[in-house]
Amino acid sequence: MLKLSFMTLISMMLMLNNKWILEMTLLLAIIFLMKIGKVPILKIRGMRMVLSASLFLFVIQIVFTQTGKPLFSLLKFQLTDIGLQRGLLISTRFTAIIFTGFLFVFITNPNNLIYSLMQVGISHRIGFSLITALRLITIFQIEIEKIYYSSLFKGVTYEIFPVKTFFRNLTNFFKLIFISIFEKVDALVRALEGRAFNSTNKRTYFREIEFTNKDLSLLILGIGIFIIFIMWIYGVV
Amino acid sequence: MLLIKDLTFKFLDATRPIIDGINLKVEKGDFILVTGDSGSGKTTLAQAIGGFLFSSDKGEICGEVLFKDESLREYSLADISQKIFLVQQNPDNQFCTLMVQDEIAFGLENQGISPNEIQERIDYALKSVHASELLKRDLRTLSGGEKQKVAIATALAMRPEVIILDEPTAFLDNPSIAQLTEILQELIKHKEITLIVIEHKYHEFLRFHPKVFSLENGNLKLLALENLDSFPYFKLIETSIGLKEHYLKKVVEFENVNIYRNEKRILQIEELNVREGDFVSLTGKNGSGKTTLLYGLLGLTPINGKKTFVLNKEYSDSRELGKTGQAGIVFQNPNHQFFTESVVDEINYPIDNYGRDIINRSDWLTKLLRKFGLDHHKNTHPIKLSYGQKKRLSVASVLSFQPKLLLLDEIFIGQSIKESVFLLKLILTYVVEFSAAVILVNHIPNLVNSYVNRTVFLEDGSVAFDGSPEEINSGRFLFGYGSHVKGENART
Repeated sequence: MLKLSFMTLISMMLMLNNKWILEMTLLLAIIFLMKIGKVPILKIRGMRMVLSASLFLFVIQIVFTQTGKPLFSLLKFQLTDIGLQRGLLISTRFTAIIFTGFLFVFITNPNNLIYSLMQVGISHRIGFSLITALRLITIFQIEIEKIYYSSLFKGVTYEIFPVKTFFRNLTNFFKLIFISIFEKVDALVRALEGRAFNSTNKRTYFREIEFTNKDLSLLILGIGIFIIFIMWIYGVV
Repeated sequence: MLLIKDLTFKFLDATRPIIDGINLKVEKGDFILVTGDSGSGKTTLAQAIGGFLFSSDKGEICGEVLFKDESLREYSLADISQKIFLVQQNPDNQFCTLMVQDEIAFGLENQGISPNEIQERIDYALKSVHASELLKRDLRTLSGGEKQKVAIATALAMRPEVIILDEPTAFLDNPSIAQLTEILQELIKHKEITLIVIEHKYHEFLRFHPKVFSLENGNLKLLALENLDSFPYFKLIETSIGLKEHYLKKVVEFENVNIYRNEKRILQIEELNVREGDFVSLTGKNGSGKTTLLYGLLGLTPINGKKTFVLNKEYSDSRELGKTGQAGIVFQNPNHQFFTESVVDEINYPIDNYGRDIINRSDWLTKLLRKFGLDHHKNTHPIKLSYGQKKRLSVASVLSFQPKLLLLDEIFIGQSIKESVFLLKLILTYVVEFSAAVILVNHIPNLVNSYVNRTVFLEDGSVAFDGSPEEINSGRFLFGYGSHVKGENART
């Protein structure tokens, strides 16, 4: 819960701020936290895409923002100070928000998160929907892999042409995936019913995710920093 | 304690009931074993006794299941689960949470039991299955044996009076089966729990003197214990070792090869050659890398080192090898492998995809369907076949395009000994007839070793043994399978 609160506060700080230097400082702080949290930054799947998108946003901003003092010009292209600042602000904000998400995902045990959400009042129906979804994702990955391999070694190529064959192969593939999903869901429903799920309103919780004094202190500190930050960017202090 | 009266269940689209007027009386502390061919209705019976079918929309149910003289129809499933608990065949299908501790607590929390009592029950349940060390583990990291222990612990924590285990050994290696039988022995000893075990490999449990029933044509038939063998060891089939020695051509050649899964090295293989005419039993404990080896052989997972796939040609990836039709793979679950609307289309599907020119195709397919006992179901939808028929079709549809290398991944799960032998003989015939190489992943070496000419045993990420089944059976290489590989005595 503490991590979720921090993620929300950081995201709000990133969205409310309009100074690229502060945005950059926040990004560096997030990268520092990722390092502390041993997040394998460069090995994250999709990282190249995130950085490419960030660069694309930067280029779009400097190309299309023509207001401000010219810093550099080449043929019809003119780089202005406002364009550069906007480019840095938007691309840094985008990267920082995505990195905040990565940080949260990598250092948070989803199971603990869902149990703590249920502890603070989220319905157990929603909570266990999320938990069973997390369970099924891994199972489905394996099942889908097997269906794909099975088709591959029966001569299915999934080449787009001829289109008719491609759609036939795709339909067959998805048909098997749906059968697999129905099988698993059927077994899961049996498991839930056989364990008295949702049979009483007096459900108890064995596991308590403790909210310690340390957590409270960190939360107060985080909110304090957030308030000072907001007051500062709006010129109150 | 439990009285089953004229119990009948018919699936909606079936022509006849799968269980048909079953009567059975079960006393407290009884140990009941139910066996029978795949598709005979054992799981349906288990679900009926567990109360799952009384509210099911999958078919019609008649008759009664009485628990202490009260009909289960009167109870909700939540109430029944405190009296009768069904442990499903595949523990993965049963788990509702992510951690061992949460999983055992789950049912108890749903019943509104206090955290202190839940703690006591978790401790008791895990201790009963000798798995206290698993308490904080993530379920996804457990081996097959550990998962089965947790599934049973989950049942014990609910403190039911009857526990039904649906094929508890299906996904287990031999050491895990040995541990499971020990656990069951302790449960039976005090006669506090009534156990109903659905099992093909029932021979492991005969020493506990259960009442053994065979489910045949929808009815239970009591089998006399003294007439049941321990394990039906088979005499070595002459044709398996008489595969005209080795043919010379290597189908697969591995030298100093590393095989990876999810960027982690799973197997390190110094040397592994598979030749034409090899029928290899690939075995090892749960998690030893058997499936990874199959994936490595097909180029489905990263691999480095000197490797030659299928007759001296190296393929850059699985797509390229897949396109050749030189290799085929059959997975455990047949439902994942049917792409068409009828049995005959399924058999033709890969041949057409490959554009394979099969000599006398029509004769070959007729022969194949007949051999696999599917000739009367040519136009049936694969999904409508019985489980045993589906298994046979999944193998037949891969044999149809006559691959040189055939990989079979745990195809005997859910199959009776009789059905497994039936498939083994067909595969052996294929090896001899087409000089093919077959690698068969399995957990029943004491059966399979009678048909293969080679056994490869994986342990600690490498090939621990590669030789003839006679050497394994002589007791020189037991690898934790000691209590199950009984040695030469087994053959007498």
